Amino acid sequence: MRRFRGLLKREWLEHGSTVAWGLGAVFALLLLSAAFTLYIDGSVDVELNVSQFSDSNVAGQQSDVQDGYILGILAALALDVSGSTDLELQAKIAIAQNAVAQPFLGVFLLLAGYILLSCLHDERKDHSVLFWKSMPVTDAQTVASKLIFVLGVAPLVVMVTTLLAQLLVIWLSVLALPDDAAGRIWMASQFWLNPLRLTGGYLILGVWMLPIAGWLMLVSSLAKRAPGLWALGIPWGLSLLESIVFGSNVLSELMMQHLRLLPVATISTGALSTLGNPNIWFGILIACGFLALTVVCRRRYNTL
Amino acid sequence: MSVISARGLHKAYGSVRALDGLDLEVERGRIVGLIGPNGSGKTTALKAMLGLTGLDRGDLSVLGSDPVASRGELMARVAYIADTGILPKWMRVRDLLDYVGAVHPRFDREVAEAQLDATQIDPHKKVRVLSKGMHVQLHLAIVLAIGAELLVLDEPTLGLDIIYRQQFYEGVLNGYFNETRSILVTTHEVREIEHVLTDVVFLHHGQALLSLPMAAIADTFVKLTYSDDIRLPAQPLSTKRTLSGIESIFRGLPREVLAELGVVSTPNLAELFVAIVEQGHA
Repeated sequence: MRRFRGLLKREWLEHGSTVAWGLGAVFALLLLSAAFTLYIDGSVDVELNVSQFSDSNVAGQQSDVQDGYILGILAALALDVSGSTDLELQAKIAIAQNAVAQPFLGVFLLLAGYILLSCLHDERKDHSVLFWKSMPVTDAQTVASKLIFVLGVAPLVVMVTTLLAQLLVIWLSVLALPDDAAGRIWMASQFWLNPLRLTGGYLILGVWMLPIAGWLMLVSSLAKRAPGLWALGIPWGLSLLESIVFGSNVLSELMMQHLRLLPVATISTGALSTLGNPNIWFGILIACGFLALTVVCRRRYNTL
Repeated sequence: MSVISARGLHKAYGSVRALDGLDLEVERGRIVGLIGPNGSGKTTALKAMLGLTGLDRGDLSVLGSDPVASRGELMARVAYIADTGILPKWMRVRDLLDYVGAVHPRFDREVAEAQLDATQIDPHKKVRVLSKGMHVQLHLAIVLAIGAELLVLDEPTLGLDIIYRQQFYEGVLNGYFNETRSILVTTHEVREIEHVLTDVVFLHHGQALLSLPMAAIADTFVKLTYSDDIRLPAQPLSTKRTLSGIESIFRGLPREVLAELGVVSTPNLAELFVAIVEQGHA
């Protein structure tokens, strides 16, 4: 256990600053835009069709949020608190909180892709792979630590940052309201549920990401240069070959079906239903194959 | 039991045979020099012993284990310093010590820090800002703090100035080596390590041309330096003209037989290697 903690700490030392800078930039932009809109520009004028909100379709608003997440934040900030029922208020705040979570999800996906693609390539590039291999750590442990860092440790940091941003955005909106309205917002925000929602969301996201992570790590362990190009080029080339030779699109359809399942960052009916899709479970099987091959390649290749 | 036991190792990269039936034994408490030119198979042999590359054929056992199948466990008992700087350059020195402390059961941080205290290395600095000499000092400090049973050195002083080279081998001899530990070292700088070796193996085209204890060299090989053409009592391994006269190296000839023909001495490893390789080509 101590060894595995050491491996995870090693990953944090290598990639932590990248993660921190990425999240910090999103955090700063979100807060700046919210503060500017609320206190400086003063022209918040967003209308939401509150009649569409009901107890059962809060999650359904997430598609709108993805289309315009800033709109969601502004909507929450411009709440007509006194004219909203508790349910409407709750739905609006849920949109705002989801809207805050989306850019963090986006930057997490970008950072995860970057780290997975570079993790086994860079150690061969700078020859440090020989040092890592001179330690009593197996290739399987190394691959597992890198995967768990990206799908376990990094999401934890993203979740904490997201929670902090959600808290601050609500706090900023509350500052502009009278005390009684502020109290209603805090109650309606159900903020204490957010850690649970985010944890569920990122767990499902991790399951969804497994085959993609496995593929990126395999390419990282094999490519002599430009792993990003190989990671995108091989699936694209194989799909093209399939369509030319067999006139079919099975591979590209499979990949697109999986990509379309991208769960949102917070747990919801939509995100949970992702787990019921057979593509997800097929993806886990594919991921196991990719990861096993990655371990073999890591054992075999020491230089670019 | 041998620390390293290799029998008939074969490894080819395409049409190039890096190892071509290599046999090698390293006993506990020995310092074995693997001497050979570029492309002789030294690095491939070391990588095979460290489990970094598989073999096409042959039997290889390191500390009683198959190095490829048991690399994870084996590396708790084996340390390695390579010819290129292999420490992660993005890490700070203190973080590197933290990492080794977390993953290596034998690592003694106090030993490592005591070693570093004797150098100019700042633990708060990143590895990338260290000079090549400091890089090797840091790696040596880690290796000494691990106290492995087998230390594998692959051209460890390549690119270092003479002061660092000397300090390095002093550190290895005084800080690491004892009768329970073994060292396998490859280098081009034969003269530099000649005095520290207990055994030598000449490697050429992936085969061991010669393998014997250093103490046996003086008994087995003789160099005769003479001024004019004379009738030699046996066919030498090699003959060359130098400023001081003609030098011939003989194998298995009593010194008394040669003493009246000129100046008799023991050839150094470089001379012996050239003589044996030349004989192999003849």
